[in-house]
Parts: sequence; C-alpha cells; structure tokens
Amino acid sequence: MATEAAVAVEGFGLRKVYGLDTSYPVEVLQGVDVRIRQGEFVAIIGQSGSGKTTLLNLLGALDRPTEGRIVLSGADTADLDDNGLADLRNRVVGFVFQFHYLLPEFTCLENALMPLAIRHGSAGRADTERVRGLLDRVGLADQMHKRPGQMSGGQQQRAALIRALANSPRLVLADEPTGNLDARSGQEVFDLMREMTRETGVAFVMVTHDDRLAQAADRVIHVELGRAHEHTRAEE
Amino acid sequence: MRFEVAVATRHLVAGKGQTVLTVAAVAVAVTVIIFITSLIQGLQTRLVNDFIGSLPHVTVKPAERRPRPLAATGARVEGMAGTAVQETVQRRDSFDDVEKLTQQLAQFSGVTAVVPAIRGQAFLVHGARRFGVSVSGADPAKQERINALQDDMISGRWLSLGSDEIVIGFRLADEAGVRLGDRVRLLSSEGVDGVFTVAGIFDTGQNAADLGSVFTTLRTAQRLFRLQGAVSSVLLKLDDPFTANQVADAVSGSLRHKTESWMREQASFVNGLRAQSSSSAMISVFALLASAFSIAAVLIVSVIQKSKEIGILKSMGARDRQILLIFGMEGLGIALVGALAGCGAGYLFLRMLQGVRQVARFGRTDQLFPVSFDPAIFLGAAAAAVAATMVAAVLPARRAARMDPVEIIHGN
Repeated sequence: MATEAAVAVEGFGLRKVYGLDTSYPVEVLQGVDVRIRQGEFVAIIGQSGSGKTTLLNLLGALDRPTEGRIVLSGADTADLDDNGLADLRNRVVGFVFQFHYLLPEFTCLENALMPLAIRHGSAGRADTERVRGLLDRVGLADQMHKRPGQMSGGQQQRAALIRALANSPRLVLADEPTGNLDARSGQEVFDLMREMTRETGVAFVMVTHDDRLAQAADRVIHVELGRAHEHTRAEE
Repeated sequence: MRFEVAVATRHLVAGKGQTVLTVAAVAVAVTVIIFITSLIQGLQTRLVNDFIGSLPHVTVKPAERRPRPLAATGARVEGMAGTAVQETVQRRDSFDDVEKLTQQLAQFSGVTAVVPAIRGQAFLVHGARRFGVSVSGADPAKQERINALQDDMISGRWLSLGSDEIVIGFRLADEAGVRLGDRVRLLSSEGVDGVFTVAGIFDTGQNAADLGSVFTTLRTAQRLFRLQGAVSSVLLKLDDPFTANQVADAVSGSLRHKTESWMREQASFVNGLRAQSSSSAMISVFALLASAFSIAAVLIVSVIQKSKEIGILKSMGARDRQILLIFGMEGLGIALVGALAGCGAGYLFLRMLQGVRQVARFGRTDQLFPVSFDPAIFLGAAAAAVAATMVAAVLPARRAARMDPVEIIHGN
C-alpha cells in the first residue's frame, strides 16, 4: 500500500437514533467507525433502510450523531454550532444527490458556482474560470448558459457534480448519484466521478445500490443492520 | 448579500404569475388607502371650509354678570326667609376697551384673526312686510377674514361698504322682493330705526344665512344696538379650526370672558367628521389585512414549493440567516414594487376623480370630489403596506430558514 494519505473525515462509534422523543425510537446506526482518506473513492452499499444515507449525512456534517464523534477535515463537529457546521460544509464538503436539485431559475454555470456565491456573495473571476474549466471537462461547455430545464438528465447530474466540486472540497458525498439515470448516462457520470477524484485528489463517498459500480470503487463499506463492515479491493 | 439578492430576484422574476399576483395585492391595498384617505380628507376639508368657513372658530363674549343674593353679601335684613335668584333678561353686555382686548386675544397661539363685532336681532322692513334677521356688524375687511363673504357675493359690493349700507342673502332678497340698490328699513331689538341701501347680495349656500343674515359695518351696528364705541363679541379665526376648544378654554381661563367654540356649538358635525375619519381608517386597515394575508399565503406556498432548493442550499452551507434573508427580501421586493405601483395607480385615480365636475350655483362649476394630493398620504400608505407585507413575509421566511435539510432532501 502506498504512503497513507491525509484523513478527510473520520467517524468514531457513530450511533444515530431517530424518534428519541417518541415511544418507538429507531436506532439506525449502532456504533460505526469509519475513516475516509484524501483521494479515496469509497462505495457504501447495503439494503434500503440499513442506514447508508444516515451515515453519509453524518459524514457530511448535514446531521449530528446521537452518540460518537465526527472529525471532518480536522474539525470535531461536536464543537461547532449550526452556523459553524454550515460553514464547514461550505468549505470542505460537496454533495451530489439522486436528483440534481439544480435551482431552476439559474443557469448551469450559475448553479455550479452556487457554493462560492453562498460563501463570498458572488464567485470571483478566477473561481469562475476554474468552474468553467470543470464544466468544459465534463462536456458541458455548450450548456453553461442553459437553465436546468433545458438540459438532459445526464447533463443535469454532471452539472450537480461540478457544483459539488466548485469549492474545491476535501470530501464529496454522493447519495445514489446515478440512481435516477439510464444505464449509459449513469455509467458516464460514474466514470466522471472516478476521474475527477483522481484529478482533484478529493475523497469521494458514494452510496449506491448498484453492485457493479460498487465493485469499481477503491473500497466498499457494507452497512447492515446499523453496523458497517469494510473491505478493500485488495482483500477480495 | 449579493447571493441572497440574486436568489430572491430570480425567484420573483421566475415566479411570474405568482409575483404579479402578490404585487397586485399590495398595489390594490395602497391604491385603496390613498384613494379613500385622499377623498375623505378632501371632502372633510371642503366640508369644514364650507361649513365653518362662515363661522368664527371661537367667539369671545363678556361673562354674564350673575346676580348675587343679598344673603351672600353678608348684609343683615330683617325678616329674610329665603333667596330666589332671577337672571336678568335682555341685558346687553359689551366690551368697552376693544383695543386692549383685541391685542390680548391676538397673543394666544394659533389665533390668525381677531375681529371685534356686534351681533344683534332686528326686523328688516320692506313695504308692509317684516323679516326677522340677525345683524352682524364688523369692519368688512376684518369680517372677511372670518367668513370670506366676498367670494359669495353674487351682485353689488361688500368690502367698500359705506355707513348706511348693508348686504343681505339672496333668499331674503327674494322673499322680501328687494333688489340691489333698494332702500330698506331696519328696526333693531334696541328699538333703533334706520334706513339702509342694499349694496350687495350674497349666496353662502346655507339657507339659514341666506335667508336671515344681514351684514353691515361695525359703526352702523353700534348705532343700531346702542353700543357706542363698544362691541358685543370678538370673533377669532384659528390656523387649525380643530384647536378651537383648547383656545376657547385658554381664553376663558386667563381672561375670564365667556367663550364659544364652534366645535362645541356644532358637536354633531364634529362627531360626523370623526366617524368619517374612523371609517376611512378602518377601510385602510382591512385593505392592509387582506393584502397581508394573501401575501403570506402566496409566500407560504412558495416556500413549500421551493423546499428542495432550500434543502440543497443548506447542504451547500447556506446559513439559516441567509435563507431568512432570501425570503425576507422577496417580501420586501413585492412590497416595494407593489407600493410604488399602488402610489402610481392611486395618483391616476385621484386625477381622474379630480376631472369630474358638477354644476354649482349660478353657472359656476365645481369639482364633484374635492381631492387632496397630500404626499404624506402617499408615503403613509406605502409605508403601511411595506410594513404589513414584511410582517406577512416573516412567517414563511422563518419557516424556510428553520427547514432541516436532511428531512427535506430525503423526505418524501
């Protein structure tokens, strides 16, 4: 194994219980330890309701664990208030969801620049050029000034991917990013994610139901009944 | 801030019909408020001018001398068993030092005109017929500041009235068969008799005045009512007619004279004006409420429609405050554009209304609706609408800001 890369995010003894204030609390995660390094492409698989998405949300500081600690880009999320978490997400995390969730009122380029606009008010010239380059890289050069409604599903998801990368994050979390695409578009988007991970050195964590895509990851985390089992390709 | 402004603006522009609807709701409310308030204010100004234009705002009269019972003087009278006080009848009290009193009264704040005058009853005799009239005597130039009779003159003259001349109302002239230049006899309640030339005829628009009033000079009235060098009352005009009660009380308090305020004499008229003002205020409040509710409803729907966007913005690191600002600014945008449109529409409506004319008396035309263009009304209506819209926008904006991105994005 090559020299160990820096840790992008780490979770220790993560427990998540929903409905604590009801008579039927549901324990979705029952103590999960996980470590994701820079440049890694990790797939999370498991049955529906097994806690994959919950784990993803915790790793991305979108949600807080009931118990356990998350250290994201060196910061313990327990030390941060909601605004602190929002700022941390903005700086070091990018999300890609099953649906693109591009804002319909903005163009493809404006959508891709959105994380920068949230942080700085508007994107600077250098950032804009960089994001243009990324859009160009994923074949959206001629779509930049189109609204999401004028683009195909594959194009929309590629724009969402570039949006997740716009802030040069350390970690991109994708929740079934190809789940809503046909096989060909899905494969295209997956290949791009794989390439962008290599090119940018970002850590990429993808929840998927597609075993074929999972097998193409560096590492697969299997979430089952609230617990995680890891295995690397080397182990297989 | 630029990010929030950009998102709010795009939402509004993309919201087309929804945005137009909410802007229209604000605009209609502003238009209604401007329209109603300007109309009521204009009508009230005219009513007040027409009605109390011919009246003094405050009349100062000598305090009545109340007879003092003998017992109160401490004198001892043999066989006195009780006291009965009988007010004097037909006593004409007067002010003798007119000059000094005029100066004193002019000192009170808000007093714009001080007119020494005489009011008395007389018979106007023409041929075999007699008409009971109320005679007002004052220097015409000064009297003019009380009731602007010159504007009501339909023939003859008033300001240059000579000592044996009078002006009378056109109804009295009709009834008595008197024409301009005719000579009539006046027989006063003091028993003084004189022959006068009718030098002018007026039409005040008020039956009682046009039928029963005679105006003459102060000197003539002094002769008719045996008040050489004295006056029976002093009439005051104020810059704000609605301070009449305060001025009257101040005068009677410090000078110990009897005062009459038009507001107390015409209480039902004043109450009518107040009722009118309250109903216009109520219409304004309901217009604002209706517009605020419709805006709140539309914005709540908009927040629900955009909940996925809100979730994704939050996942990208947008703070609650930024989301609150986005929807707050949408409300502000709607409010400002709506208020501006409402001011424009209100102005146009008022201009249209101003053009509607009615035929007044003697061939003169008059505005049917006396409209007042008061910038304060426009500003007030716009400010009230902006405030109401912002209050309406707060609830949906807070709801948006509090949304949990996990629930929105993964919820169904």
